[in-house]
Amino acid sequence: MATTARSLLLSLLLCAAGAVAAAPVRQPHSEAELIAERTALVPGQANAIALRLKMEPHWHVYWKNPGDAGMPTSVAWTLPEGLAAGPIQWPAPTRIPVPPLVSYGYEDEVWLITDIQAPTSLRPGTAVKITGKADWLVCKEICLPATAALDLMLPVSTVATPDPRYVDAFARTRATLPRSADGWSLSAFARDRHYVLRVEPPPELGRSIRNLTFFPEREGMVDNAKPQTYAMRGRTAELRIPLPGQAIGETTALTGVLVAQQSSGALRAIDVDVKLGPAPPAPVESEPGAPLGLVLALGLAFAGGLILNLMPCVFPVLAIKVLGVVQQAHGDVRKLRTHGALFAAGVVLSFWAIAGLLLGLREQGAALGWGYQLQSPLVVTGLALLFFVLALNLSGVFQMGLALQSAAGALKARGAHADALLSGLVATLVATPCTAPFMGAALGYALVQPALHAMLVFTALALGMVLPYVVLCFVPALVRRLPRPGAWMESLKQVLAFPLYATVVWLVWVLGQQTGIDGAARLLAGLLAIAAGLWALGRWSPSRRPAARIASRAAAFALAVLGLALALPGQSPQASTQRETAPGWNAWSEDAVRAILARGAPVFVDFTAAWCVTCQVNKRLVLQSDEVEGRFEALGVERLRADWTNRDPAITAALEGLQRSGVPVYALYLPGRAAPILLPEVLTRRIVLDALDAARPSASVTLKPQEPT
Amino acid sequence: MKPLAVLSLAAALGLAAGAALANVAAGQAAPDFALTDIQGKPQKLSAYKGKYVVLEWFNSECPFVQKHYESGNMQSLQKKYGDKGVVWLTINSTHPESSNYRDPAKSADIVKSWRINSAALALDSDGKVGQVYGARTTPQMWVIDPAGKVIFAGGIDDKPTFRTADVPGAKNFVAAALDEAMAGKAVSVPAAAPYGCSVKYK
Repeated sequence: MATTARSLLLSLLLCAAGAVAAAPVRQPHSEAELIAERTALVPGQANAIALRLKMEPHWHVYWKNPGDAGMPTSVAWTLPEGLAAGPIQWPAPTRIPVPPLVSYGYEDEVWLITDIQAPTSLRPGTAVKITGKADWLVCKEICLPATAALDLMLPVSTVATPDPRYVDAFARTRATLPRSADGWSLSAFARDRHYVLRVEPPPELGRSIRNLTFFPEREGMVDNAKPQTYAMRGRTAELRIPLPGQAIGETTALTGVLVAQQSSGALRAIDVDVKLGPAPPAPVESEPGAPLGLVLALGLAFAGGLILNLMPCVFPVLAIKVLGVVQQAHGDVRKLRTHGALFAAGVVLSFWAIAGLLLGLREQGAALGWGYQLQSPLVVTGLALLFFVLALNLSGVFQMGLALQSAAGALKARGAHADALLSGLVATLVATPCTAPFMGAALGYALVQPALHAMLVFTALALGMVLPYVVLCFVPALVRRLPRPGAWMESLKQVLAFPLYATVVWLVWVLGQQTGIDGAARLLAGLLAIAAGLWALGRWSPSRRPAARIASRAAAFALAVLGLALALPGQSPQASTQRETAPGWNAWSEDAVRAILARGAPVFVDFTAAWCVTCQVNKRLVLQSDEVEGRFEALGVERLRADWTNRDPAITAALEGLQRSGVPVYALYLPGRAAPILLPEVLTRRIVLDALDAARPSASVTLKPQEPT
Repeated sequence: MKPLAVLSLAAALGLAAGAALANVAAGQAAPDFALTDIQGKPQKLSAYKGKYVVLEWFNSECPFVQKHYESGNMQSLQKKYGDKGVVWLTINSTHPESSNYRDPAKSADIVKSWRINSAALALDSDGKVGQVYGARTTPQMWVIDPAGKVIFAGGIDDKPTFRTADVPGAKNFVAAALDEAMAGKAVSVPAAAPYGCSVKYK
């Protein structure tokens, strides 16, 4: 009894003393301290000692594999004889982007637990000093090394109780430690410069997992910076992990940690050590329904290509080519066919070039989706200039040997073949701004498929687009039915300028969204200068006096240069988040979605972009209609808007998580449900209201028992 | 057709702006570059054809770089191989907006006070050369043979720490690659994990 009382007293004294010794050591931007889980050491038992690192906001420390840059935290223990320290138990890290790199580590605060084993020979009633020299690197944009000699006095006792102050923190930390993969079904293989990790969670983890991330055990196994993407096949997730540009060491197995989100919303980390197996044959065939998906996608792309001809950006160009055929109607049939075939080839080749460029950039890890071209103010400006010049040409302001305008003459010209090909290129170029808004979803789907499928889909689109013209060229009977050439052709041409002007108006608006009113004004000023220049060219260039011709050309050139200088965007685009949001709508972030779901409220996310016409139509006519707004309010649905007008890797990653690669996407998240409900690209009020019925209070009450964690 | 060509070029440039870091690995031809060193002299890689070249990515404020200079390790490697005719180019890709940026005058002071022995220190302030090579960290090293082929790329040694005490026991991959190549042997470790601070690109 006496010894117990004495040791109790000693513990109390030491507790006070220990608190002093364990005071945090401050270093620039971070502080460190040692914290014992239990208030004493028990002979023959282990006590968990945590190195607690607290960082200033946005400063981070590193995991055992720091990723592209950094250094793992280490502790060198100095322990009395007989005591032994185990390894650091690393909690699951997070990806920390330091563009263009990605590191693995922890922000804000981390507890690194080490088990200290006490020998049976320790005598209760004594005390033990545990010393650890911690070395860590703390980084934000810059990195600072930090070191601290930390110690902790612990009494030796026959019993030890958890320190009530730290029970929660130890429990929280242990929840983030990777667990054994028992019960999980894992397999891995390499394909297309990616590792594919197939993951099936044990049944008790609920319907499915999502938001998978693999953290490699060592550097050089995977490309840290490129995004990992996953797809669900039933309950099995297939995570694609990019291979590194330069492999270091031989990789025969994927070793590291996998973090996934359970249907409850909680994160689960497991240890992964999976041998790379042979790649299963053609994954597409093995999945029923997948080939149909391709056929369907091809059919839709072909139909889309046909419809594209009626779009305001393409229709005038095609119409003018048809006018060329009209003039040629009784000419050489063979020449007409060659021209048609070459034009088709030009279109197909330029679609391939655009798709190839996009696939290449994605392979490089750039976070892009379809419509990405319009995320660049430079491209938007370029297209606006292009359309404006074409429109002025159609209006008759000036005449120029533009490929599309001289379609008729080109048949006789010497460079006829090159011209036909080039006019195909121009047709594609003018078609791009129309494909993005109207076919974003379909092409986005194509882009997450293997490269060959994606190219096939783009080919189908191109073929659909050229079909009407090619048919016209190849069936002389049709040509003969066309009206006779005459003055009506000039009138039609001038009328056709207006859809092009309309496209310019839209592009100026998009640029205004990207760079603000000043950027849009600069573009308009540039267009004005170019209009003046082309007018001067058209007015005096045909003049018979050489002086007038030269002067008009010089003036046109100077004004065009001035116009370009004015129009080309200088400053970088505003961040999407800086843009105003409509009342009732908040800016999207992954965290915001999680936070709202944790509160038990449903969330509706509108993935949108200024350059996406479908998105704008849906927004104005459906989402912001009084009827739908009212239902949102009545049901307490939080509304978030993810604006993809400018490049935003976080949004691109979220779209990929939803198996999409373009906007619009409408997702309704319900608390307690793993996957969101995805709405179609083209919304009606009925569709939204029906989907919202799922979020009715009655429905969420039945889901309530599954408390979000 | 001219204005159209200009516009499609502009469009192509706009598209290329999103490209990510490259990764020049051992076995590949070393991409040529032209920089101006802090003395104002041009440094063009192709001008050194016929010689071994070492590229060292540098940031004086990075603790991992400081480890190799405080210990004298980097200076002695620069001297040893410089004497053997190796051209050692130290490149700093830190963007001027980073607090780690040191302008040419300050960099010259650092070269002097640290007694840096490389052939030249060049600032790659727009990060273009770093991105073409795929420099991720400081220090990160490339060894290029007289034919212009990369024979080593990666971290300088096998101790990815910033502790000066770790220098003596480390296996230095750059020295090994140069020794082996100069002796006509194959380079036994042509790639190593780069370690250190992230390169401070914009």
